[in-house]
Formats: sequence, C-alpha cells, structure tokens
Amino acid sequence: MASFAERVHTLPALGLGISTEYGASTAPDALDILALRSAHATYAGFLEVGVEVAKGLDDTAQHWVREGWPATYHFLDVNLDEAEDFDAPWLQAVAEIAEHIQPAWMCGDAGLWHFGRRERGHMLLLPPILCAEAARSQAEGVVRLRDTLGYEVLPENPPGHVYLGDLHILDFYAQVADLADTGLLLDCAHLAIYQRLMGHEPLTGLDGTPLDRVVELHVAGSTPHEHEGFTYWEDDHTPEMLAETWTIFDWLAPKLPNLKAVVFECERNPLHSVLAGFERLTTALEDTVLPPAAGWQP
Amino acid sequence: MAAVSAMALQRVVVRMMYDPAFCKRVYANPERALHDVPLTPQERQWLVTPKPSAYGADAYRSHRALTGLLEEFPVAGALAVRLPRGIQRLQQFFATRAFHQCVQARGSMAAAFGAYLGSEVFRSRNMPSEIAHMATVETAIAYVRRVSPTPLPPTESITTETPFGLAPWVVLLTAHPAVSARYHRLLASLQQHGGSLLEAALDTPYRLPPGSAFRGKATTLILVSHIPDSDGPTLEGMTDDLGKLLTAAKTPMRLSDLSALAEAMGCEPEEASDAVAELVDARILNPHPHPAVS
Repeated sequence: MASFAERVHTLPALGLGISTEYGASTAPDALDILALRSAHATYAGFLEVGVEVAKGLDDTAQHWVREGWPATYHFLDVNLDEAEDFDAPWLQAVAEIAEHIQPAWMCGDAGLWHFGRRERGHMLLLPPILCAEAARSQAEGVVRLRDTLGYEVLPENPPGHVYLGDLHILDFYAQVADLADTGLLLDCAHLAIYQRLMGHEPLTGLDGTPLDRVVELHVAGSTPHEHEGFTYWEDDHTPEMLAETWTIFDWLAPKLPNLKAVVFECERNPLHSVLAGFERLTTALEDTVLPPAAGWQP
Repeated sequence: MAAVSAMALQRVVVRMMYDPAFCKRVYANPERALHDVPLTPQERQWLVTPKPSAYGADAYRSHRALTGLLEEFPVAGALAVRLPRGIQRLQQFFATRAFHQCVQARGSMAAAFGAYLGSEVFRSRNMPSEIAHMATVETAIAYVRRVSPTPLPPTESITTETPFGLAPWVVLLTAHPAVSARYHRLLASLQQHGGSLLEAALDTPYRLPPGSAFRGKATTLILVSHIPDSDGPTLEGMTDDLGKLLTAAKTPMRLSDLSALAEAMGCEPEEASDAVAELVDARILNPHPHPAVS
C-alpha cells in the first residue's frame, strides 16, 4: 500500500461542510441542511453522516445521498481498540451503508463508543486512556477498518470529562497516526475542552502535531456546566464557540498542507443562528489550501 | 504496561461513572477497591487524579441506562417499580457485582439486569417469584433480539446428511405452566395504558391485573424466538412432544433422524416428516452444514 503521504493526494478537497446523525434533523429548531445547501451551497459543500448501523440513515441523509452530493462516513459505534468489536455482521452492515453513501473517507471519534458488547443501552463516548499501549491498539483498529473496507480512516480526538494517562491528547493521536500511517480529524472544540479541563493553554501540544496528517477540522460550540465544584463543557454543538476553539482553528488551519475538509457541527440549531459561524469560517479558509467549496462529486 | 491493562482501566472508568459508591471506594483505597483488576500502581494513581466529581458530571447517565433496560423489561420492570422503594431497588443494579462484572468482562447489561430482577432483591411477600418468572421470559426475549441473523447456506450445500439444529434465534424456556399466560396478561395491560410501555411501567398508580402465586414445578416449555425478517420476538407455548423434539434438536442431527424421533413419539411417518419440514420452513430449525465436533 502507498504511504499516507502519497495517498492523501488522492483524497478529494471537500471544502466547508456540515454534520448530521440519525434523527438530528427532526429535532426542534434543527438546521434544515437541505435549505442551507440551497441558500448557501458553499456552507454545505458536503455532509458528514454520523452512522450507527443499528439506526442507519434518516430521511434527510437519505435525501442527500440520493442527490449524489459529497459525503463522509462518521462512525458512531466502534471501539477501534477492541478487536472483538469488528464482528462480521457489523462490518458487513458498515460496508453496505458505505457503499450506499459513497463517502470520500471514513472518520470518527477514536474513543469508547460503548461498554461491553455493541448493544442498546451500552452507548456512551469516552476518550481513550492516553498512553502508548492504547495508541497502539487504536492504530491497529484504524488499519483493520481501512484494510477491510478500503476507505481512509481518520481518527478524531473525542470530547470528555475525564482524561487519564501520561500523554497529552495531541501526542496520543500523533502516535496513532504514525503507527497506522493515517491522517487525522482534529476537532478544535474537543481540543479546547481538553485544554481547559487539563489547565493547558489553547495551543499547548500543537507544536508536536504532525500537521501534514491533519485532513479534516471540526468546530462547534459547547456549554459550560458545574457539578459539585467540577466545571466542564458539554460538546452540545451550539453556535456559541469557546474563544479557545477559534484560537486553535485560526492557528492550525493555515498551517495544514493537506487540509481537505472543515465541518461546522451545528445540526440542532436553526439556520439564522449559525450563519455568522459559517461566515467566520469562510473568511478564515481564504488563508488555507482549502477552497471553501471544492465541488467534489463521489 | 499491556494493552489489556489500558482496556481494563477504561472499563474501571465506566464503572466509576455509573456507580458513585464504587467511585468513592476507589478514591478511598484504590488497591483495595481494585484488587481484582490487573492494573499497575501508576494506572491506579491515574484513576484518582481527576476531581472525584468529574466522574459524576453526567448525572443522568445511569437514569438513561435504566430507562433503556426498562424498555426491554417492561413487565418485570413494572412489577418491580410497584414494590416498596421499587425505583431505588432498580437503581441499585449499577452497584451490583453483576453490573460491574458485565462492564469489566465486556458482557451484556440486559443479561445482567435480567439476573438482577430474578434475585432476592425483588421477592415480594404475596407473589414471591413473579418478578423472577417475568424476568426470565424477558431475558430470553432480550437474548433472541440480539442474535445476528445469519444467512442460510447455499441450497446446494444442504444434503440429506446435513444436520439441522435449533436456530440461534430460538430459546426454549422451561417455566411454570401459568407463566406464559401471566406474562401476556401483564403485557396486554401495559399496552392498554395509552402511553408507551415504559410510561405504563413507571406509572405506579396504574393498576396491573392481579395474579396468583406460582405454585408447583416448572413443567412447561415456552418457545421464545426472533425469526430473521420477522416483526419481532414472539413467545409461544408448545405441546410436550414438540418440546421434546426441539430439545433433542439442540444437538444438530439429520432431518431423517428428527423425523424418526417424531415417529417414536407417535406420529405417522408422513406426519413426522411434514412436521419437521414445517419447523425448517419456519426457521426454528437451522441447517448446520459443518457438524459440530463433540
């Protein structure tokens, strides 16, 4: 297989896009992504489809796919570091859904999506233990998925309330990317939450990040909460982003030679409330290698 | 440090998030609380580095899980909720050894919850074993619901020598003769509530039909199945002869041998082979092209 440095040049530039998951578009005041695409095509250059195979695609995602518009496949139901999680029925279902979506690549939070078996009631999302051995296991999962399905697999840094281990989260995913020879999806909002929880400055650790491996960036808003003296941020995809999220995005985006896609995760907010965010991103992308709407078709 | 250690550590994190009392014990004495988990001293130290309240930040985590479980155990759950301090008893599931073992050993929470509902915690004075009986039925339903449908082998691979056995989506329960009727009566009552099954189960003023205690032995076989592409799991009573035939089919054997068994039970030869063929058509019996090695 060619190296990632070679393979990345075959990946399409998707531009600026949006995300969804099953049922998100029917939530009260949810973003009408079809209306967004119609009114502001450059804000909805592609759709990142969050997929839990037990649920499949909702009507909105199906509509998008039927139109043949660009998409990526964001998994929501695999623990990359658990070999048992790659069972044949799940892999078969993923292959069928991916065949239907025709994604440019696969990506997803590389964390614990469920404890125990993949069953109803077991779902959650926790970051991995940030240590070298867990990075090795994650990398094995990335390679297993890529080899089985034939798509690039970009691991993403997940959000969390509790981070354990002796590695900075950016060093952890740098190790995963190196061991799996893969690209990365860096979620600036998740990183901002991590930096705050750990008492770091927003840009701490970015100097060690393999910038040429970052293919996709996410931005999203979050909401602060407090529990018994513990302050944390819920990654609830509001339009109001932490200032640190913008700091990270503005520092990173112009430095990424292989940036192909940026997602503004705002799927549960009405159109008028998210336009300012899209305008801000469009301006920022002018200083990057990524055209706002690349017009790739699967 | 081995990868299995990092995975074990992450499972402990999950347990601490669901069980505040366990979380407290870990902070108080990590070595003692985690004596049966293969962790290094450094990993145990990592666990108690965050603020303890960080583990409980999602205050609704266990409520969501319990909601999901009650959706799968509406009948046993409805009875349990109606016991004194019923909700608290149910919430204690996340502090049980069964739950912790389920998380630590990558098990099934529904199976662990079913076993918990069958425990002494839910024995009532008037109907001492009712919840346990209903939990047994709903555990079987939860089990067959989770079996992944497997495609039938190619027709050309099936010969007269191909063994057939009980399909993986079928469970045979040995139960008290009144269990099936009681289960259906309670379920029907919940379905008549007007809300969802979960809402009905949790609506404690909503009266469930009275029943009588299950006296005597478990002597009836119940067939619980979730046939691929069907609407959902079903629960059916069986004649003794059919029960015997299907019990025998737990060990795969040739169709001719199954027919011979049916004949030995008194069927005419044609009747026996028709009955077996019907079970195959209904996918209660499934071909096993590669006989199991005993």
